[in-house]
Amino acid sequence: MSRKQKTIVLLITSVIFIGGLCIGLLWKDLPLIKFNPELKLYEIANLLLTLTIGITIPLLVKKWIEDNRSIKTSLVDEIKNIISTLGKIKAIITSGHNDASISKENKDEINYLFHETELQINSLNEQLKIAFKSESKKIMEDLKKNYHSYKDYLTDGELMISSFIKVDDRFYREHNTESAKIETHLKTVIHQIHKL
Amino acid sequence: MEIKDKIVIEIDFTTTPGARYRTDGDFSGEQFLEEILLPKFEKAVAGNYKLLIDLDKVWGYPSSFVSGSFGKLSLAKSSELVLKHIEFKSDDNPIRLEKVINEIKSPRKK
Repeated sequence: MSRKQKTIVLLITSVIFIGGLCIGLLWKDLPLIKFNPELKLYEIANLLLTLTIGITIPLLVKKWIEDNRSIKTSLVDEIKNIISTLGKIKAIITSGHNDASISKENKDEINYLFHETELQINSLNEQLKIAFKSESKKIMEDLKKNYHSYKDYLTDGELMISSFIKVDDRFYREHNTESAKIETHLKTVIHQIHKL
Repeated sequence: MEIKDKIVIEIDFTTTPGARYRTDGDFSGEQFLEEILLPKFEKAVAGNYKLLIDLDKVWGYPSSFVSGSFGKLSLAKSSELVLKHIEFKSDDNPIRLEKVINEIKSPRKK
């Protein structure tokens, strides 16, 4: 239990204790409130319970909703970072198409950007596991499958061959299709997270 | 099984792994397999020890490099034997580690 939780528990216990003491005093010694002698104990308990529920539930629900929203915002930001890193790869291919050339340095940069993307996917995985453990497995499996499919398209084919020095129209179009697939998938993950 | 040998890819091979075949350019998966991985792996099998492979501190691993080296080794020697005698390390990137191990378990025939 964290320090904050301990303080809250202590505070609630103190309020209940003091509240109980006050009710006891009012009931027994002080004629400040005159109770109907026919009033049943369970009726008082019922009233107190209703008051407690009426006050605590809205507070707890509000806090839960706000916490949940901030976790989801953080997860969505992680996905946006992945989209942005993959966007840099797309920019290299687009630039290669515009200049009609692609260098070894460009290819090394693409490999490094994939490494960076993997670090971001791993970070998303860790955070998703903490916040939504049961749902995280399927989401991450699908995400990795789509990511590896895109990575394989770019790094398991002609692009990595040293004689590939020009991004032609065909490669450019094919790459745009593959790039759109992974981007669309990442955007659907954002919706999945909002629905959790 | 004890680890008695290791390959640090950034030191023993390159920081910029290339494509699949030697004909594809420098630092290919085929070159890595034939010059470094296979000889050290065979020694590990003969000596009944484990070979540690450090995957960190490189620019990245093209899928063709992974398939042309680890995948090809797995096809030649069986995934069980490869995973019995090789231990991988990547403190930087767990997904990289996962990809290499998956390639060994389900090598693509190219």
